[in-house]
Amino acid sequence: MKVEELVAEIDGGEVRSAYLLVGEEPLLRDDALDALRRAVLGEGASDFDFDRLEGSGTKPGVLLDAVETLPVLSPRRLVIVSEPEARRGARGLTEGIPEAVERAGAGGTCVLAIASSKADKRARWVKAFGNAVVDCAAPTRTREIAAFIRREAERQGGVQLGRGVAELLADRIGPQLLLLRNEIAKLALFAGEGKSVTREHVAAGTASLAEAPIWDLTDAIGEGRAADALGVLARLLSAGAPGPVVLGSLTSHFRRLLRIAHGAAVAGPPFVRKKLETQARRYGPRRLRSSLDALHQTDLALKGAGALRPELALERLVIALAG
Amino acid sequence: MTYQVLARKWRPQGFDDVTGQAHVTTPLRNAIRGDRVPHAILLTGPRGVGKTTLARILARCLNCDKGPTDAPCGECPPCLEISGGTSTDVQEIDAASRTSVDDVRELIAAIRYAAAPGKYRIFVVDEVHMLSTAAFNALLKTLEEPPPRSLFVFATTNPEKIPFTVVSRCQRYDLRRIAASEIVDRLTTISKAEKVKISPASLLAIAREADGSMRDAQTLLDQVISYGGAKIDDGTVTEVLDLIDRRQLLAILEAVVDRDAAAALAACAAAGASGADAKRLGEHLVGLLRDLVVLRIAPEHDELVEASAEDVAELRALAERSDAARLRRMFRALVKEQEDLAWAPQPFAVLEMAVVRIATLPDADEVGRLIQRLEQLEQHLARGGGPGGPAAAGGGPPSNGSGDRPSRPRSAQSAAPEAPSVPTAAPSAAKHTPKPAAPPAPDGAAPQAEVAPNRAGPRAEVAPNGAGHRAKVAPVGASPPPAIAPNGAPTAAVFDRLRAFTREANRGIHAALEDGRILSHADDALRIGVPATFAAGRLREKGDALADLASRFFDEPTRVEIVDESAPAASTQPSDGETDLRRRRQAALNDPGVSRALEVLDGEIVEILPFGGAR
Repeated sequence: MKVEELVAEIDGGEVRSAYLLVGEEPLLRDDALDALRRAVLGEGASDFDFDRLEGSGTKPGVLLDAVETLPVLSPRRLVIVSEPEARRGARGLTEGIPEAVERAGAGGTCVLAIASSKADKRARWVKAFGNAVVDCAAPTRTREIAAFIRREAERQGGVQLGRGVAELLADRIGPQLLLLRNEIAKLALFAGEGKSVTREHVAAGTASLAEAPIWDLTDAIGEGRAADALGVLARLLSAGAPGPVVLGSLTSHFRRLLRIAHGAAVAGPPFVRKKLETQARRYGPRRLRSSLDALHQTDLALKGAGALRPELALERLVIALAG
Repeated sequence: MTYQVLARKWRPQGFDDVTGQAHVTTPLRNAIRGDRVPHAILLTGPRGVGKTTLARILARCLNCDKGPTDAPCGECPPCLEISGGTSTDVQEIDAASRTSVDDVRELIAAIRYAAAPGKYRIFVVDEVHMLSTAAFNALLKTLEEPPPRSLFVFATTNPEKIPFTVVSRCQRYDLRRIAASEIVDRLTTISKAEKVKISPASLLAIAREADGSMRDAQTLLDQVISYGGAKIDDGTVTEVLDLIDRRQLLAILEAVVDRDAAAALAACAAAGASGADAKRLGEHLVGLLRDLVVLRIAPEHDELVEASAEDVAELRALAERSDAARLRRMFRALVKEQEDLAWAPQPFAVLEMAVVRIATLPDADEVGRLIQRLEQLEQHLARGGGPGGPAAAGGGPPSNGSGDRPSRPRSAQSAAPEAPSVPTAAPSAAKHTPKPAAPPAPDGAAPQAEVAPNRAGPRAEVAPNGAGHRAKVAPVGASPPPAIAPNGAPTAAVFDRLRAFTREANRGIHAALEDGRILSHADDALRIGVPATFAAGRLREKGDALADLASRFFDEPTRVEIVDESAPAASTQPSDGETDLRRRRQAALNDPGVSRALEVLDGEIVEILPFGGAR
């Protein structure tokens, strides 16, 4: 289930005895745990009825004890366990999870919530949760991120978003939900109370922070999108990517294109090979060979030869390759 | 009374005084008015744009006796204490000097105590990116669950160095470079208040030199006042700050973009006369040309150009006056020349010639036409066409820079001269009168072992015109075939590339190889002939390095033998055919038409072949 489904279920009065939260997105995970905490412990002081255990240092026996301890002030206790797979082996925590889930269900006095970055659905301890598995993975598609932005704007007291604002914001920040939450709050302040956030507000007030993976750069270059390639390069460098690493990735990419252009095999899934073939066709063998010279010249420039600063040398390369 | 520098004296005291950061001050004001101040704020941006100033203003707004208010009075004890840095509720930490986890622990311990006498407990951490990883981790828990009425304000120029876990818990505000016009407004106010007479042009020059930083601008104004006193003329500003006036740079660029070499030279001279150093001038020009290229290719990506909005608009307008391909070639050419500036005995002359060169670069249409003409030439020759065809328009055989050549008919039959078919698309071809066939060079005279068999085929040859060194394309009956290297490329071209390859690695070898040639290259042995004993000696001294370079160049272990061709050894004397080939090659290199083709196509001469005769 999604986090919003969990919250709706809890708001509807149903709290199960055990949940598995899977995913690394901190905001989704925090939201799910906050909802559980409010439902189980209420808003008041609750330290007596709350245990937070770390998977790396917890043995199965400790978990079972925590689950079987009776509540003091609240009707139920809440036990949260983080990263149960941090310690593997015979005495790993996952060994005791199925029994803990069973006991929490039988006793009716404890809610067990386990938060894990990833979980293998075939594992015994994961199967023990049945369908009480909450997806806390970050959305990856712009449509999903934009949907989150609209929900979040609504949650923050009904912040009004103008046409295209959610998509623009998703493009600028990417799937970093905590940042998005803060940006929505900031943009609401920028627009002023009761006013709608417009694209102009986003353009003026929100920096482009979306992380740019290196393959965004190679794709933009390979597809001849020079403007996009320059933007991605700037983001990579401002995020601290070392110039030689960027150059290495580009060299590797063009080597693969050259291999494909000469009929050699290139490892990778079919869709990647297809993409590379399309790009290799776009360049042609002659231009691919001359691109190696451009890469070589940039390598020399990065190592101190010539008059160009490293970032300028990389820009020159990107323009030459994508042009 | 102690003198206070302008940057401190004129530090903004309220949001109204902050210049050029409305996208930051507006939400902060609204947050204070609506009591929705976040518990952690991250202020990022280049130096001198107001990060620490905004943090202090925010502290005054929150702790002012009349506050929280977005217009602090500046007179109450909390306001005065914050301005003076003596407030107990506002703690400023320089993370550049206090980076350790213990420093952060002190801070965390202090945050437990409620503000007194103010309303908020505020921690301003400057240069926060300098904190150690352990210090950030120690801070994280407090950031996740901060005590009520506490505020962290982090300021940094390097937000990418802050862990995401910290950044994601802050409301982030990105401060921008301040537009020159806004800096000028502020400097005008300051100079009037300080009773200093300075022209708007000088203030603009200072603002531009400050590159969007208000603090830098005020510091530069301070320097100028210190030197010139209360009345400052434009010359003083230029002299004191060693400025390269952006107007002069733009004048040069405008001239080269408009292909006005004379105006470009005049603008260069004006910059030189004002004392600009050639190397710095070149660097600035490279930077501005880069901006033009970027703005032409990615006009919607203003953020890629580090300049104020008005400067970007000015550059964009200039970029739109040329096409991207030409701008790129200009950039490439200028970078190449810039590399030579460092060693040039007369740097300004080199810079001037560089400017003339980029001003006279043809645009993409012209290149397109040239390529079209070359293609027509190829087609013409492929049909066995003779002189008077498109080639006579001044082009040479196309070079792709990689040794590839389009296939051409090579049969003896096709070599027979035919009536030239002049394509109508090359009207200029008619201006050139075909030269009579050159005397045939001796067949098979070349000494190389890898001489290709005589092949007849229509070829173009660039031959010198004795009078004006103007090359003509002339048919020749038979001329010596160029030697063919093992990889299929002509040895002259291979040698040129090998020499170019040595340029970066070993300039001594590069220089000694001048006028040399490959005598043979078989298996792993490379014989290089050089026409001077001195050069041969130098190359023998550097034998290991040369062998290493040759191995890298050919991508296989290569032994190098140096032959001194100045020695009276008959076996190493170039044959008449070789001499002729070298002469033709030199003529081609000297020919302006060929030079132009090489430049616009970024090509190289791979091979010079006889035109309309046997190979």
